[in-house]
Amino acid sequence: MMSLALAEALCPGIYNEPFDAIRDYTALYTLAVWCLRYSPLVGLDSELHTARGKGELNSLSSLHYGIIIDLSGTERLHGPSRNVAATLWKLFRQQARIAVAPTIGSAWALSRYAESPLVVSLSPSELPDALAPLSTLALRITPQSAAALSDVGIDTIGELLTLPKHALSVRFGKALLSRLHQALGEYEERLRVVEPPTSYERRKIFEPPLIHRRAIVVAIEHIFKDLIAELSARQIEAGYFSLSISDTAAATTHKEFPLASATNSMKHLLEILEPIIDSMRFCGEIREIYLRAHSLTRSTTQQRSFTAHQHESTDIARSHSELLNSVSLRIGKDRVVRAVVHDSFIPERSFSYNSITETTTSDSSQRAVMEPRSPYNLRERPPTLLATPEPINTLAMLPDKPPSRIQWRGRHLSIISGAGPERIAPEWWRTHLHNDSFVGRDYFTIQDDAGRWLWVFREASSQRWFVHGVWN
Amino acid sequence: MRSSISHLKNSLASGPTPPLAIDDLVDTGLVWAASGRPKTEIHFKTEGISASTSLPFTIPEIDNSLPAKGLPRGALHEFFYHDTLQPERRSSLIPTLLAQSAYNTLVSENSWSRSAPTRAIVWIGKRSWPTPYALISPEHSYSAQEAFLNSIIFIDPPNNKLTLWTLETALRSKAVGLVIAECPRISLTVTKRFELAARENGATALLLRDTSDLNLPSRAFTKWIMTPTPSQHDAPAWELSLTNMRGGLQQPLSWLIGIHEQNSRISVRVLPRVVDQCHTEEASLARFGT
Repeated sequence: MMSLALAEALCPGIYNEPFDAIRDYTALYTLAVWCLRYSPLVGLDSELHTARGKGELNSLSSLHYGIIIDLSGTERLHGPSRNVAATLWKLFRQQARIAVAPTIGSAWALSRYAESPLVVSLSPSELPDALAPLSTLALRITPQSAAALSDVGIDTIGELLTLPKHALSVRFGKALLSRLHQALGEYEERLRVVEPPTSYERRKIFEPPLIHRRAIVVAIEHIFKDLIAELSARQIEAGYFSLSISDTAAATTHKEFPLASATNSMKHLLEILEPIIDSMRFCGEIREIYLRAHSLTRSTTQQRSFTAHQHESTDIARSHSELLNSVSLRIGKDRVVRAVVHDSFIPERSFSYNSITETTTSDSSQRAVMEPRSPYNLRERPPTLLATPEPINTLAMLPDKPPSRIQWRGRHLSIISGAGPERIAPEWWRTHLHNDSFVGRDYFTIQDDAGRWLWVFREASSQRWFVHGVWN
Repeated sequence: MRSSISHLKNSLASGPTPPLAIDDLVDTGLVWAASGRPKTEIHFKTEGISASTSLPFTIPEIDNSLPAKGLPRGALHEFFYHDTLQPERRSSLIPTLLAQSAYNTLVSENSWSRSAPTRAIVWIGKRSWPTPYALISPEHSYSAQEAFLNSIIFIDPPNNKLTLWTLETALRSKAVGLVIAECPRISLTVTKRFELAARENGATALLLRDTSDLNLPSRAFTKWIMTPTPSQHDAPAWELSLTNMRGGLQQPLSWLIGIHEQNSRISVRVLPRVVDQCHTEEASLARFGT
């Protein structure tokens, strides 16, 4: 085991990243799903499956990260399995280790322990000879069993095969024997197959193409209804829909229907989709309409409760998400927001508005009120901040006193009282985060003779004055 | 068409319906006595609302002079902020106060079950949004502040047409208890529409309107004007007047309100009226603190 520091010293500039077993597993699973194009039966090691189930991926040997493809009967499609192996070998840029063998066990052993990275051994009769030079570890046995075998001078499978099998079972346990039998094809071994993610989509091709707007709208609504009906039958809710419309000139328009909360309610969806579909423009002749549901979640079954009150509360929750959906679809997701308070002394950075949909989908660690902050009261901070500070001309009698006259929005205001300054300095402990140009400001609270209260500041570097907030 | 005719025929066949007595109309709140003292009891249709039928300002002086001890829920209320320098500006102090009050009322309505969702507060129009730290009060726990902020949905529609659509959608939703909206110029018919929507669901609507719309007819239950006033205290003060109220208002009511600090708690309080307005140069210089 080499420490990272030593490795970096030996090879300067080496790329390193912490090991994330779950991510590796997910990537491998995705790769396995991709391999489904070569055979309907593609699997991962059963050890990998078990470790994933138990959450012990970190302690699993990296040898078990592999993909098993059952090529039986695919010759008509892909040609001899030799060719498939060669294709995969090329696709993985000759970095993968591939073996084609009659049994899962032998393929596993040959792909991990054979000298050549690409092994094709097809007939069962050749199998013992192919396996003989390999280490006993190639039989997928534990390192302890392998060490026990090595103690009695058995290091390869070939040496193991010469021994009487009943004695093996007695001395080294049943596992060794069953692995040996599996490798030789005497015991059956099942494949833990991967399943492709199911997608919910509808594609309609029109021949002859659709020309009339009414027909197109009806077709889109029909496709939506069809898909929503399937979703609700399977108790699945969709987070958003994407719609692609292709015309005869092969131009495609895409339209996304993001929903604030996942739903499969037919009535509600059609209600909010109709105005959007109505406002869409189509040009040319429509040949193909393709609709797909994304961000699928299983819907929670709603049981009608005994008490009226509980029923009312589920009612409220449902109409809440319906309101968010219809508003965010009609006027845009980023215009339906929620206020978040941040821990910053700089007024315009002490809060932000985040899209409701984003904050509900993200984890609950993102909180509206992040940390204890210094309590401002309504006298210190105005209830309204202007979107951008408005420049003003001032007449200040004394350098660190509030101005006595200001000119704001073309009017001269005489200031009758004021307080300040309150200096807000750049937050040096975060400047690396913002890389910002914030310069210190001196804030004053001033009142003009009409009783208007303004929050004004003087920028430290330029000495220019601005109105930043009003009490209203 | 055919169905309405048949309906008419049926109703004719069953004979004329007895005319409603005027007292019934008065009792149902459809008609008010034109003279005499104002009806103090306001009957209001608030189906689905259990606890209280009004939204208090939480300022006792104001609440006690209103017949419903606050703003009746399920109705429209209009707020005008009068400042010639900032005609686009709407009041944010009173809506903030009412949002806090509404949140407390809405939470207490389903107090028996914590997990039950509360009705939301919808705040439409970016220019009328207060800064979030003005909304939360420091004396509350952080989780309470967070819950309050999360109960407000801020919506910023891009144009007037969509503002009105959003306003009506929010009022028609069962999940909304209070709608605060920066409202463009609307006709009487539109206010009627909003009133019906609000009454149906028991949602309250605060329309923050432009002062140029002050004299337009509307179905608002109450109409308020807030004007900045020079204050002798070293804190902002405003004159808040109730100019119209359905059910009769003999004379406009007005209060001088200001931000008041008491026991580290910030609240809006009715201030004692000051007779002299202190517009003179000397007074201002004296207060300037030089």
